[in-house]
Amino acid sequence: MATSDKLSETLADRPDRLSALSHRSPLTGDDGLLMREATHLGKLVLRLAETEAETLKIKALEGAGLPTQPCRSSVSHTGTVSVLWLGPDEWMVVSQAGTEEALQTRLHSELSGRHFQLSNVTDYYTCIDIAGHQNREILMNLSTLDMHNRTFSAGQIKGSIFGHANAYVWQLHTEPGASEIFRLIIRSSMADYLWCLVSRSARLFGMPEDTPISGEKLVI
Amino acid sequence: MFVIDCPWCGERDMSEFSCGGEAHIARPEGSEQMNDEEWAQFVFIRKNSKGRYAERWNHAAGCRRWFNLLRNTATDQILAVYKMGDAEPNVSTEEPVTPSGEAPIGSGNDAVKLMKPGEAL
Ligand SMILES: [Zn+2]
Repeated sequence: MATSDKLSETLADRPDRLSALSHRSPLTGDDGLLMREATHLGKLVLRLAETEAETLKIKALEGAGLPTQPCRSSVSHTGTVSVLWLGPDEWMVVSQAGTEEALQTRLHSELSGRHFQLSNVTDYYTCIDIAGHQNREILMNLSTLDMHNRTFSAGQIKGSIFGHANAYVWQLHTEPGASEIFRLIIRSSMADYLWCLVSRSARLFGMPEDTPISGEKLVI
Repeated sequence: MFVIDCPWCGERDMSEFSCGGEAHIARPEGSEQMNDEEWAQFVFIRKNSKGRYAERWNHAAGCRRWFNLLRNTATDQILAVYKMGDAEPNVSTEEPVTPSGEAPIGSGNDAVKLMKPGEAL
C-alpha cells in the first residue's frame, strides 16, 4: 500500500522540508546580539486535568514535571525536553527537532486510560531566538509585557501580543552567568511578520539591516 | 486603558483580554418550551448598568481562560476578579450620584470623573 507508506514517512526524514522562516538568515550585532529561527523544534500540546497534573510523573518527559505554577516551565535531566505552562490544564512539550513523533507515541501509551488530549503542533508554530545585549529592550518595544528581570526570569513563559501578532515569549533555562536567551513561539503564518518586527526593533540596538537569502524586502 | 489581574497570569494590559459581556446568565431550563419573549430575555436583554457590573473576560492572548470580573463601568475601577462558577463577591463601589443616576461627565475612559451634586464643572 503505497499510500500508507507515505503517511508513515516522518517529516523529519524529508530533505526538502522547509521551516516557516527558511528564507531569512540569522542576524548578528555587537555584544553577542543574535536573532535566528530555531527550526523544526518538536512541539506537542497536552491538555490534562489540573488536579491530575500535580501528582503525575511522566517517564517520557525525562524528569520534567508538568508545571502547575502559572507562566513557568520545567526542563528534563538531559535538557532536551521542556514543558511549558500555557494554561491551568494545558502545556506545550518542546523537544529536539525530529523527536516529536516518538515522544508523542510514548506519551500516548503512558497516558492511556486518562482523559487527555495530545496534539502535534510542530509545524503550526516556529520559534525565533533573541540572544545577547539588550534583548529585553528589543522585546519591550513590541509588547505591553513587563520585561524587567524582576518579573521575567529564566524559565518563565508568557503569552502576549507583539505588534499585531499573538505569540508566547519564553526565557530559556541557561547556566548562571550565561547570556539570557528569549524564544518567541509564533504561529507559522505570522512568523515572517514577527521576524520583520523584531529585526526592525533590534536595529535600534545595533542590529544590522536584514538581508534575506531570496532578496525580498522587509515589509515594514 | 487599564490593567487586569488575571487569576492565573497576574497583572496584564487590557489589550490582552476580550470582554464576553454580562456574567452569571444561566441558560434557562426547558428551553424547548420557551416563547420568543423568553428567548429574547435570555439572549439579548442585559442589565447594562452604569456603575457596578459583573462581566466575563477572557485572557485571549495569554492563558486563554475565562474568568469573572466586577467592574465599575463609570470609572473602570476593578472591584474583584474571581473564577468561573464562584459567586459574585459583595464589594461596594461609588455609584453615579446625579438625580437621574447618570454621571454628567465621563463614560468609562481614562479622563472620567464622577460628579457630586453641587460640584462645579
Ligand atoms: Zn491569564
